[in-house]
Amino acid sequence: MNRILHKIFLQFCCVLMLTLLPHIAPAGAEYEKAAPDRDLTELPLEELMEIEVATVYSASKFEQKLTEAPSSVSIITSDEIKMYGHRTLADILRSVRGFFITYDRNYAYLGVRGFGRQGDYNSRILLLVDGHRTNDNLYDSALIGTESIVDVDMIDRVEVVRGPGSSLYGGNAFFAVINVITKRGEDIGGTELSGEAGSFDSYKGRFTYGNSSKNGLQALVSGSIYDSRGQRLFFPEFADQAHNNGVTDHTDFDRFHNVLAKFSYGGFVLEGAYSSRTKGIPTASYDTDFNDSRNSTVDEGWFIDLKYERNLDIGVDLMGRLFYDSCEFEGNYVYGGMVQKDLGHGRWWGGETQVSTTLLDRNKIIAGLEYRDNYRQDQFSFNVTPYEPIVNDRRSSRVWAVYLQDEFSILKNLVLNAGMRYDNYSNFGSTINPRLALIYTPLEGTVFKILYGTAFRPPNVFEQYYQDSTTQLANPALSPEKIRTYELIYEQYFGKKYRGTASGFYYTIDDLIVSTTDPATSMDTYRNLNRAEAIGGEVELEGKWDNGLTGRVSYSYQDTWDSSTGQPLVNSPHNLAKINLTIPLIKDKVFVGLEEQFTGRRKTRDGNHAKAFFVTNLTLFSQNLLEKLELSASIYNLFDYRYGDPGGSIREHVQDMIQQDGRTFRVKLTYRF
Amino acid sequence: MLPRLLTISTFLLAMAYSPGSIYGGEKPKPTDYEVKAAYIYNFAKFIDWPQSRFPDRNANIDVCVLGNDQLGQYLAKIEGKSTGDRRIGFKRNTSLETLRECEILFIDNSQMGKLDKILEAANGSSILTVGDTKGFAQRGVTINFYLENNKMRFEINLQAANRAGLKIRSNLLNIAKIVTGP
Repeated sequence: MNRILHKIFLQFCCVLMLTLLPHIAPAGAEYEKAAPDRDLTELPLEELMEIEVATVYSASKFEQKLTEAPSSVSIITSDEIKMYGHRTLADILRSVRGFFITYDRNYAYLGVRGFGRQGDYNSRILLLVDGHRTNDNLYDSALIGTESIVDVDMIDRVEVVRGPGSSLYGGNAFFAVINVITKRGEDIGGTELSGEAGSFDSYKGRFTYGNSSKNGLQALVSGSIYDSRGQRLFFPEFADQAHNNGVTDHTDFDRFHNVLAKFSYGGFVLEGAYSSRTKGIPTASYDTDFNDSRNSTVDEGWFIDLKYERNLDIGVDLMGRLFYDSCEFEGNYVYGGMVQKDLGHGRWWGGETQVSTTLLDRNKIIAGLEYRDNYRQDQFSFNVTPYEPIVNDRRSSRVWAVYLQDEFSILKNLVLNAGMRYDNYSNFGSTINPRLALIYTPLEGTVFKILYGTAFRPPNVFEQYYQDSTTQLANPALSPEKIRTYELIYEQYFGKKYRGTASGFYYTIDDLIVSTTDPATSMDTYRNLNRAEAIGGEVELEGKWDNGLTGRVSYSYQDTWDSSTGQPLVNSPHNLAKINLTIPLIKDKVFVGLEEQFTGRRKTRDGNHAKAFFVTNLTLFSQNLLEKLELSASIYNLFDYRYGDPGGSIREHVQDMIQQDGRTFRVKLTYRF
Repeated sequence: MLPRLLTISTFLLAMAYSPGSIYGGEKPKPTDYEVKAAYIYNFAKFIDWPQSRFPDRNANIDVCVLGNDQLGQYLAKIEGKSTGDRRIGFKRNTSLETLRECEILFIDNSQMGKLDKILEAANGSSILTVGDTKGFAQRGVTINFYLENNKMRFEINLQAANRAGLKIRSNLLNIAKIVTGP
């Protein structure tokens, strides 16, 4: 039934896209009144006012930067987040070309370019908040689910930069750099109260105050609380009498609270963020007792960041940054009714300084220096009652780095972007990562980019030093993983209305860190063992029309394999396709946001296959209909498609496949005054 | 399989279909800088500077650009055009030190960090400052361009105009958004 509905729905989408695209386009006809060969300066003012300006990509500095960027970039704005009903950063990233999310009902993992390894806590992407690095110093994790440090409502836009970014950003900028840019005081301009309710007794409340004063001071303070009872779930792996017939209730709960504060004046920005999330683990991971609601993880993180930017009259821009970060992890695992606690305490501070200038009119130079002191990287594990220590490992390390990038305009329409960064880690040594990009703009609106770059993922302290007496062996000799990427990108802007992108990539990864069995002790340990390769391509078309209709359609193909065995990687779909459409029902007031995501078949750990699936999300959004009030209602997985994500390692999950949510709902109300 | 094929074919069709409609024999639209230059010509026509501003009766109304000079190629096209009693001049390579020689000073977005210094340098010389960056009018720039539904509009800071001794005629005021600011 669902499948039939689905086909009808898809056909509807096709018809919609095909009919809308050509018909809405001829808006340019209006412009015939003032043909371009006519001298604009001779037009009366009233006619000048009616002329539509084309090529906004060259007007808006930001979009222009997109075409100049030595990467394939996607931007998701706060409007899109509202209109598509995105609840987490993971929801946002799900809609991005070539990305897919795997959820094990504890953490959300991002898959990029066919590489999606559960249990890596997204340590192969770099997650920035307003340019501040958020990957922690224990697992290098980038948290994107409900555990994310920034509330999704506080996001102004998300910039997704694909490809290796280590030449500017250093470690973990392996597959992509994701920069979350938060709202400013003036974007709120008053007080905002927001409440939402969703399936499985999920509730969220938020208070935000933000404003700017005439003298340029901006302030924003926001806090949110979320509580979800979660699902009642059935796991066939536990379907016997000893395990409540595989049914677990009250174990999928999810609670978080977070705070964001941001002040800016002159060239200074002071920002602080805090979040704490507690998540029940319904999967009985790591062989814990099934259906025990004490199985849970707590992720608590905060940071303070002070940034100063100044443009000197001599044409030099300066940036300096000081930061202090904390990450506290707590895992509660129940064995035979007794709780075993895993703790991680990470603390670090550091600074960064950057100088950029233009030399000889043709070279845009950026040079920078970065230092991080990981003065606490401690891991503990113990049984609570009776107290029995299992792991007690205290570490610290330091990282420093220098980088240089030159954007050299060889010709008016040909730019060479070359950059290199040297990173020195006290725990494994140094690494140098270059990036080279040739950006060719043969015609206005047509851009070709050829890119080559390398990136690295440093081994984290968990992989290097976590050791107990029975299951896990440390390996301090681990070296970083290395990726080498080649890319070809073609971008085409068609006036203001459309943007098309086609790209191809090939990458090889060396020294992949994998968990393996140490032959001498039969314990698990991490080694730089595997090599992987991938080839793929992506196409995307984005459109934006005067009446408020916007949309994007993308398709990605990727083929990944283990270089020594030739076998495809686990959790790597060949095909991904996405449609995002916002349709205005009443101009500027009521919108329908429609998302359609297709994820192809994925191989699982045990050699089975997670079937391909479609997810359709529908949001009805209204603003200004009632004064100061924003209302939205969303249905996620509209057709109640049943699908599962591959499980993680055999140690973590008994399940080879983990069932995902069916149809769920959310309503949200935001009042601004 | 069928839904997947449909999705892909939709995409491919959309790709193949849309450029046709875009390239359907239509001429390219003007760039925003072209329109801004046309507006600037109109500003010169419909704004009166104090007589003391000009050394003689035939002196030009000089237009300058501070920062990224994408506007320059279009200003060059209005150079020499008559505003009635005077002609438009276009001066290149303007700096903080030489900006007092200009009657109309376009301040590019890249100058955001230096805006206060620029306004200070321009203060007291009857210079019409023009920008195209959000918030510039509120910070003391006299005329600021913005886009509304892809159409170029502008806002006027009257206090700034008064301070510079500029008289803006009603046909400009009627179509502008009036903002307050220093």
